[in-house]
Amino acid sequence: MIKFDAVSKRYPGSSQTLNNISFDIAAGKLVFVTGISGAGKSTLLKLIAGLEQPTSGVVLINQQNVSHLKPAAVPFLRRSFGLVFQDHKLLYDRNCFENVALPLYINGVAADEAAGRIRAALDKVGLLHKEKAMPITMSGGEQQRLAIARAIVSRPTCLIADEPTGNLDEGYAQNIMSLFYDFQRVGVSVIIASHAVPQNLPSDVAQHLQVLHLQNGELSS
Amino acid sequence: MKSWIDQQQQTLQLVMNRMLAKKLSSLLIMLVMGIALCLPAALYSIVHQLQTAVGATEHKPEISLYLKLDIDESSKHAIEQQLKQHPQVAEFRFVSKQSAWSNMKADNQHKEIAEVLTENPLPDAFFVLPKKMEVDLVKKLQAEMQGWHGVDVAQVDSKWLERLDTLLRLAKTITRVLMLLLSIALIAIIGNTIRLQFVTQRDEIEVSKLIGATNRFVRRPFLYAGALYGLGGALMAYLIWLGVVGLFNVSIADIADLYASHFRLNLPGVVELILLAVFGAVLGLLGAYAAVNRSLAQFE
Repeated sequence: MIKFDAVSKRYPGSSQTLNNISFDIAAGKLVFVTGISGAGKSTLLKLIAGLEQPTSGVVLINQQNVSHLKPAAVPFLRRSFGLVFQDHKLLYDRNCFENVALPLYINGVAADEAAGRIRAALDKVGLLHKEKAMPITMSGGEQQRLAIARAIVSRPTCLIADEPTGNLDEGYAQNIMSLFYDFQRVGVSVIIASHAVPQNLPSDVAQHLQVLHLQNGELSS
Repeated sequence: MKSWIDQQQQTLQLVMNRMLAKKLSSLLIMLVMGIALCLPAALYSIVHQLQTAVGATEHKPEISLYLKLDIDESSKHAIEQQLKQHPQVAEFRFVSKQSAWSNMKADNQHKEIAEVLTENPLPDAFFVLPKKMEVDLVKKLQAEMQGWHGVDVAQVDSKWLERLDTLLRLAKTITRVLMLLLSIALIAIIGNTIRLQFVTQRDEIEVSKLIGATNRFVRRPFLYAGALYGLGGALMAYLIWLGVVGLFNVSIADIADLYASHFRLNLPGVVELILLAVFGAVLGLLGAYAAVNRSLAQFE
């Protein structure tokens, strides 16, 4: 589903961020991109989601070369992913319901159909009772779950999360991770950037585990 | 199709809510637009009405056809027939050289001149009243009659009319220039407003683009906002126009009564409202489109 072939990414004015990366991710996997801060995890996720273009090498997503996409086609590639950002990127002038509604609104889903799907997504992350709450009034863990609800509401085939538990304490982190495992169980590919692979992976999920460990901008197994 | 309509509806709802949330600033923008739109529109309409009114004054331009001195009866008769059948001639009267001569001798002012002269120097003449009083048409008619057989001189006394007409034409041109300049100003005002809104919604636009919003999607609410400002401005312009003409008509009534005229300025009607609305909406769209495209290009 996702194939990197000798991909390098360099930002102007900095040394090589990613260097000669090649890997293959099949559909339905649970992938952990690990490494210390600054190892290039976020950059790798951005390349996968089509938010950045490689400096050299080929990124294939569903057999499409991302570098060859027309600018007008990029938004449609992005829609096949559900993104959970490190800093949530929630809209603080809208309530929970409206935040989750945004991707459906972008996709042109009719309002009556959208409402059902939004509530289902909020229910999945346990925030159905906070439909009308403003994100700013919620805890960090709740905001993270809201961000996940927004990522899954458009039913993406691939869920990408950048350090989703980075700022959370242990209890919350467990809770969030088990959400991701649930999505993997129903066939969604899940790609998570994290400093390390969690210790207590459920065995059924662990079967599909794939680890991409980054060190100094290169893959090391 | 349904989802397309749905999206338009959702966008419109969103934009209206945002405008309602900032009632005062939205109203101020519309007021500025209203004044800028109303000024040239009302001026143009007033000048146009004056022009029409001048055409209908009591002081009608008459064409005088002085015939050749040696003209024979049949040519005179032919001219009379031509005048009778001419579609642009309202009425005419014939003054023979004899009656003109006796008038002149009877007239105290010209008596002395007449006494000096031994024979009648005056020609036969037709005095023609055209149906339409527009300067151009009258001049054309004059030129045509000048060419008729037996006509010595076709004269039209329309100098004052021409001068007034030139002045009114100048006023119209000035109004057009004013309209153009104010339109550019309006596009700039709307563009600037939309650009500021783009800045305040930067977060939302960033997130939307990250999760797959097209430029068209990002642009849409701003285009609606621009068009709505334009429509609101048009409505304001209409109301201001109504008020101004109503006020003018009070003073015009006083002046017109002195001249025993019923001239009043027309109040703007449905046609004017529609024209204003279309014009305002188009200006709003243009301003918004330019601003959003520039902002989007900088955003990338």
